[in-house]
Amino acid sequence: MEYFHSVQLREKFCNGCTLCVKVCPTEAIRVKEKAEIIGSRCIDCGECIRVCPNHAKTGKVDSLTDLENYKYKIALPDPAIFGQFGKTVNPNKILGSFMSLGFDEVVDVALACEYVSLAIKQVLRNHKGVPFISASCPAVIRLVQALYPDLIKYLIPVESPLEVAGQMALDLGLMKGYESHEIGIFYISPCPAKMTAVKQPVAREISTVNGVLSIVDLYGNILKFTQTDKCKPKDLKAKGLGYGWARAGGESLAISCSDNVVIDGIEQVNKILREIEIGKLTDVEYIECWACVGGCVGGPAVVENPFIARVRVRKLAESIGGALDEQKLLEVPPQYFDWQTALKPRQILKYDSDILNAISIANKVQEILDCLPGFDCGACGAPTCRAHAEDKIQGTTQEINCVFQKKESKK
Amino acid sequence: MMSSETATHTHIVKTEVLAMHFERAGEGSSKIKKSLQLIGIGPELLRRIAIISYEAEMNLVIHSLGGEISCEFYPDQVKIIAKDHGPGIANVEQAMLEGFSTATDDIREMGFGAGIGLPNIKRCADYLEVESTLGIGTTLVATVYL
Repeated sequence: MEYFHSVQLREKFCNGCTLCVKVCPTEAIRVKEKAEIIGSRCIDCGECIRVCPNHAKTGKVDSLTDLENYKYKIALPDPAIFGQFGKTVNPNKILGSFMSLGFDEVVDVALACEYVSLAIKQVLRNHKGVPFISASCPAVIRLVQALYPDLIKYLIPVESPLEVAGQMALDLGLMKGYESHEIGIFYISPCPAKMTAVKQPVAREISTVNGVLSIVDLYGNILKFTQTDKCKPKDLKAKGLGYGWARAGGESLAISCSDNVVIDGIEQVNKILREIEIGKLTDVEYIECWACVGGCVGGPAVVENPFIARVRVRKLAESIGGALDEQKLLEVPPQYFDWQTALKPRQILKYDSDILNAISIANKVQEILDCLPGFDCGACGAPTCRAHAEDKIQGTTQEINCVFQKKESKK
Repeated sequence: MMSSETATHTHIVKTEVLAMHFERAGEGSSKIKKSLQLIGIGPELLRRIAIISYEAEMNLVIHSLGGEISCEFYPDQVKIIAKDHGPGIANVEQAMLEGFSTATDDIREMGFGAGIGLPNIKRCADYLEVESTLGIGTTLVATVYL
């Protein structure tokens, strides 16, 4: 199966440095002349976008012109958007600005966050003793599928706010009398991982969301529109806890779980998953994981500094306040929260499907590895000496290209 | 079973383990897990072997004077071997019991040494051999069939 991934290289900006190679958690990048992304390995965490000094990496998203394909256009702004603008920008106007951008309606994703919180609470109540990993960050889900396949069973089987909001939007469009193909539902995303979650969902065949626009692409326009009188404010419909989902810790707060840990940043997530795998994390009920430092406000497709955005989101959430009411869950059909397909492992690192071949490759790799310095400097364009040796054996690189080996042979 | 004659069908990963070096504890088992993933071992076996190698490595860090953890892959089985140079286990059968631990108070305060290491390994392995001589050292061989 062909894997979709959103992260792309803008070749003209890449100067061939190897910073991105070193930060990729799945060793999915090699630099030859320019960086190349191994599509089958990319989990769209966006680390390479963040680290690139030349902004050569980007998340492939849709554009406002794609709205033209639909009669009734609905925007689903991720709550992270509320952290992007300062005090002078009224949050109600942020929601309202989407009408100025050409949308016919806005469904506040924070409201879906509220519903999802209630659904998670319900699952936690009925399954005592099982530690659950949150399944809201699509990059975390893909990391689990790729490197921790046996932990898939710990991912909480509750649909993400993105899909729940998508279904709410579809209902809205249908209620207004439009056919489903006339309704265009666009997620306003802080990251490329959500683009991938829409193009190739993990727990369903097809997403209800039709397209994804990035916060960074719309930022300027939103800022402009919020300053005009033409932009009419729209009510924030969710409780504070729903908006709080935009920052790491907000989900745990909303599901009011006290035995929880909150992990943000893909490197730390990787570490904690390893600890769960070897059975070290036993006294925790819920593990909230986000690929980005700070949570969604730290996404690679936002504008504001994540720490500033985090405080803004917290303040907004606190100023709205309110408690979650379980009765509210009755407003949404229960099947909206169900995974429609089972999550499958995705063994992206495997040498060969035949174990004898795989072992023989492993030995050949080891032979080459014994001749390399083991500095894992990345100068050859591969993240580690081992990865370079693997590329040679698998034929994706023609020769061993080690600066230290060359230096040695000149002596 | 599999001998050196079939050496091309064997792959070995080895890491030295230093006693009481908690900052590097887990590196050997990480290396083993990575190799298993590259060879393409399935999720459930992967996790069992990850637990065995981690617990065995921690045992070396906490209880031994240092040693080596290695993993041998064969087409039909994986062996995790933890070999140390002392001090040796006085009563191996007792050490296999749930809750039995010889860890010092210092170690327990660090959150280790609850005495679940060996029984945990036994639970995850298909076959476990522990040989120990006081003053000389311990060799643990845990086998998992593929």
